[in-house]
Amino acid sequence: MSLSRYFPGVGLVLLIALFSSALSRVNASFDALVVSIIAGILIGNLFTRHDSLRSGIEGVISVLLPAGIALYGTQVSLSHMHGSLILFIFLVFLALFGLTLLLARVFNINRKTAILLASGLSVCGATAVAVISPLIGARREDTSISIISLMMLGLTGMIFYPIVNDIFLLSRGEFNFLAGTTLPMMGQVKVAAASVCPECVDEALKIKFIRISFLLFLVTAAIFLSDKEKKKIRVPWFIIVFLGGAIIVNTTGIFNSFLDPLKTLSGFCLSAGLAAIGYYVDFDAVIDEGITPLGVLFLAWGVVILMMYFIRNIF
Amino acid sequence: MVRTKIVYRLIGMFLVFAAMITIPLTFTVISQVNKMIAEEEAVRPPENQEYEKMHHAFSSRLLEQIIPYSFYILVMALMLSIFLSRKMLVSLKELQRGAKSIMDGDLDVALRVTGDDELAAVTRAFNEMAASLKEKTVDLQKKNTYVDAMLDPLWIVDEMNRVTDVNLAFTRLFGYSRDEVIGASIYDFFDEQNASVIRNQLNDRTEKKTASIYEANIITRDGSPLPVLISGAPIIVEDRVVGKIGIFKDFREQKEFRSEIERSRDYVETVVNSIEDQLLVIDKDYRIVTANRRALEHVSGSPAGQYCYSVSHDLSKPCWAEGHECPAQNVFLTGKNFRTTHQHSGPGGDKRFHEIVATPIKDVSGNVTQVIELIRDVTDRIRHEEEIFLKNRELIALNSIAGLLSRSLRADEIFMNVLDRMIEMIKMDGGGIFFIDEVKRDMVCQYHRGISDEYIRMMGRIRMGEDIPGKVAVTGQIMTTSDISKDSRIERSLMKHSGMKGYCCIPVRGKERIIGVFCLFSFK
Repeated sequence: MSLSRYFPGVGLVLLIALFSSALSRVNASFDALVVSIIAGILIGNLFTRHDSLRSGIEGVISVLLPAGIALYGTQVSLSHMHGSLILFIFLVFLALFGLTLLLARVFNINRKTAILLASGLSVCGATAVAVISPLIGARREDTSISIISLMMLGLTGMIFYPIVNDIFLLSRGEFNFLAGTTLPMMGQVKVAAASVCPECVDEALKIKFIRISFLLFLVTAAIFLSDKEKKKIRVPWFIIVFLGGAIIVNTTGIFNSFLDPLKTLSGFCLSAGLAAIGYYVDFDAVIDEGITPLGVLFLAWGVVILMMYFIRNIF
Repeated sequence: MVRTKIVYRLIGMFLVFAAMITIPLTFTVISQVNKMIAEEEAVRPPENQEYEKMHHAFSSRLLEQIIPYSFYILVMALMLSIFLSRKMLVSLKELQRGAKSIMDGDLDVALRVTGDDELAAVTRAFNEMAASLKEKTVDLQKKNTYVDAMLDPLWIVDEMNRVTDVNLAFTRLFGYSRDEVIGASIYDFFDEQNASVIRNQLNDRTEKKTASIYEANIITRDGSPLPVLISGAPIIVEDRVVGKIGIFKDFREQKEFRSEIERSRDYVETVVNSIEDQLLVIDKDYRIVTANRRALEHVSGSPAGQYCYSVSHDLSKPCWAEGHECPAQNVFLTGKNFRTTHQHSGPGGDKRFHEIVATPIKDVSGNVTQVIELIRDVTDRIRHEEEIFLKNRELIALNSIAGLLSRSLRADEIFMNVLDRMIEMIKMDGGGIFFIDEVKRDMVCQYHRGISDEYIRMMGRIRMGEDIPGKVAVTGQIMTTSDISKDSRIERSLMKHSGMKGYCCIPVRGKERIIGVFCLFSFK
């Protein structure tokens, strides 16, 4: 097997990831993950997609993206986290996932797109979509419209959450909870949290990491909900590594001295993976699938936020 | 390299416009902020270094926030614009799909019309165009089916005599594939001789703008010539010949038939010309339709078209109008064979006898349309028959005389009986037997029939050399006359005025000399 066929694709996404990382160092508001996926989408749609890039890009999706998720396990910190908070995070995750599926059914969105939308909104956006898509045999159009819709929603949240925070005078904890549980992509959580206060970032990301660990349940649920004939449950290796890493980090101090390099490495891998995912997102999917998936996402997201608001005011 | 889809152009345009707005706006805001800070510091200088540092960091922080957020807002707006422009893009995509469907030959395409804007109007127009195109295509396909269903090959030729279209029958008959034929010059399918024929025909047809039918040999794919009958016509558009259409008829069978017919005709002609008799075919107008070579020998020029009575009898009216027997008329009237013998004058004025056998030629309804006259010169045969008849009569007479001789030896009885037999056989009215008296040098009638004794007493003695009997006795030659009254050999007036007409005198020979003469006469 010739490795040279991987070079162009891998080279492109690594270039995007490097550019994004560099940009994020220049300006922290340019989160590497967000910029990577946006750059991937723009490059993939504005320039001709060459077949020579395919092998490398697919290779990145199947190696670097899972590796990035797996390494993020070492970033999960349960210190200063109450069990009730984890329960609330899980409830929000369930609400987002269930409500999106329900609304998708109401609005006649096909099942695979519905699962991808629900997975992306409830866990980790484009990453979840990329993980779930092959497991449920989704079409490229399903994946594309899901990522575009999630991207759209995430950017909206990322821009408006600080405004919402100022309007509703949320406490830091409330804002971190809101951003960590309802924004689909990690980069968006980081940008939104950073725009409120630099300290919010870590707390919001902690919540976000807890959500990412729900990928374990998500994979199982997604396979069960899909219309695939052979519903064989197979937990991806990176989820196991993610959970293993999280457990080790939270129970032992083995990785303490490597946490920063691991964070950088996982961020870079994820950045490259998202650039690769973005590269294959096709705007034509919007024409084929329409605005309904976006509408369903916004509706489910809005309902859950309203529910959170009411619960906050009641309790 | 850069995609050329409309959606990407929109994205590109959007980004350019967005950059044109956000970049100057950002720098304007920053500039204004710096100006405001400077103005503020001019009025109220910073109280301490930290305050001053915060003041100076303000614009850079603002810039740090504005740039990424502008970027994110732009991306968000871009995506939203794609969602919102979907209707337009759907219409465009539908039009693209429709165009591709039509390009692929699917004319049943009906595009979904969304909205009521210009694109919707274009989509509706497209649907109408597709429907119209389908209608016309179906019509064309039907015509094409008809053309392809034709058993006869067909080609369409342009102004430059290049083939622009052929039907299935063409490829089947000549073995060429459609691709081999399209674009080729028509002259590639003919040898030099046939190409010349075709060239003349095409030039003539183009010039006169008329159709024509001609025969040529077309070269098939395996190189063999194939005889075809070409029915060609110009294709005229606005009074200008823009092409030609040629329909081919496989002429192999017909050519074979024609050759066969020609061979048969030649054979029949040979057979007919080999007949020694004259053969004429005469139509109802008594015109000669055809004649064999033997018949042609008897007329000058071709008899075809001439009246039979004019050719054979040199008459200006039909024979039957002149009261003659006409075999052709007889056959036309009865519808049956008719056989007769006619006496005609030969080239030298001699009598010629012709046996004519007339046979009807009937059409499918049984009507006699023509008559075959087979004319045989039977003059020799008639003469032979006459001779045989005479010989027979002689033999009968001899036989009769021999019979008489065997029954009696009495001279009187024998001569009288012979005289009677001769008169009876030759159908004369009477006769007499003269015996020569050598001493007196005259002849005496000793036996007679059909004349009175008184006449015999006056005319019963004839001198040798006088009148016909006397001359016969001297010369020993038979003498006959059809009218004794006008015959100069008769000298005596009594004999001339006896009322006899036909007269025959035969010498009676004895041993080495003539002993008398035998005379027979008739009053007719």
